[in-house]
Amino acid sequence: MSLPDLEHDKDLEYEDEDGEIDEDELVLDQRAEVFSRAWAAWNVAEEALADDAFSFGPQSFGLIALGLLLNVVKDATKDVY
Amino acid sequence: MGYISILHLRIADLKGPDCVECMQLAEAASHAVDFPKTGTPANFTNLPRPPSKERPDFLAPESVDLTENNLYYPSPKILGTLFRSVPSAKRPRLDTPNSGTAILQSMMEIDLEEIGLPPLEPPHENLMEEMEQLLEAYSEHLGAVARTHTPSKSPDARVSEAELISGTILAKWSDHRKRREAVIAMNLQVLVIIILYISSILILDLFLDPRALQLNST
Repeated sequence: MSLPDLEHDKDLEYEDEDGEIDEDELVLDQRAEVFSRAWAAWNVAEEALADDAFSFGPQSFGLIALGLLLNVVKDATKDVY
Repeated sequence: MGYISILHLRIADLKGPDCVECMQLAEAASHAVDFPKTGTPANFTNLPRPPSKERPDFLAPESVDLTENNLYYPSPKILGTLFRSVPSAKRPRLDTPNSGTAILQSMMEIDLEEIGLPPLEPPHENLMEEMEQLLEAYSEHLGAVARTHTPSKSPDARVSEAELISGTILAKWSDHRKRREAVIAMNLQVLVIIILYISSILILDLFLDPRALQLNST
């Protein structure tokens, strides 16, 4: 039994009628996904800190998530302006 | 040279720098300094004995708490006065909460739609659960590193989260080499943990194009 070629399946979503991959759309979708995940991670950290402001871990976890969020925003802003 | 100089400081602190023992030590120090040139070592057998077991407080190492140690006395001389005049570093509280509200407000000022990003809505429940699990595992990993690198032998002792992330250990160590080694090992372990969890947040069940985060350039 062989493993499914998930990367190929993923690419199919972004292929047009001519079989060309729309790379811009792929990047936009991936960027949005990263943003959503980092946003969720930051929210989880904030919730944990709201429960216990001095708990061990959420502060730096939140910083990591915030760094990812701001990276995506910076990257997306470059494309627009 | 070090032994002679320290002994000179100890005796001078009690008897003054012009006492017989200090003059003798000054001569021995002069010989020790000239040793590379003359080849004649200082004669340690004729050196004066230390005046007492106690030492002046300005000779106390960094790791000694002078309020709980009777091997050091407060020196009445200028070195002691200067030593005690140095203000002790007041450490800022290490576990300061972050400014989540201010960050959120700043984020809300960004026109996310214009730059092609989703709005700041409450994350999906499943995603929150996944991130909660990640946070729990992350905290456990970080806690294990924190417990490994504390100089304290207390079972509950650990390096603070701020120290782990900033890459330094503020506690006093008597052995500087051990401290340096602990800091290097701690930084390496924290770096691995952070990379691991960045990968987990970004996720690996997606086939991310590095351009989405410019990972190829960082």
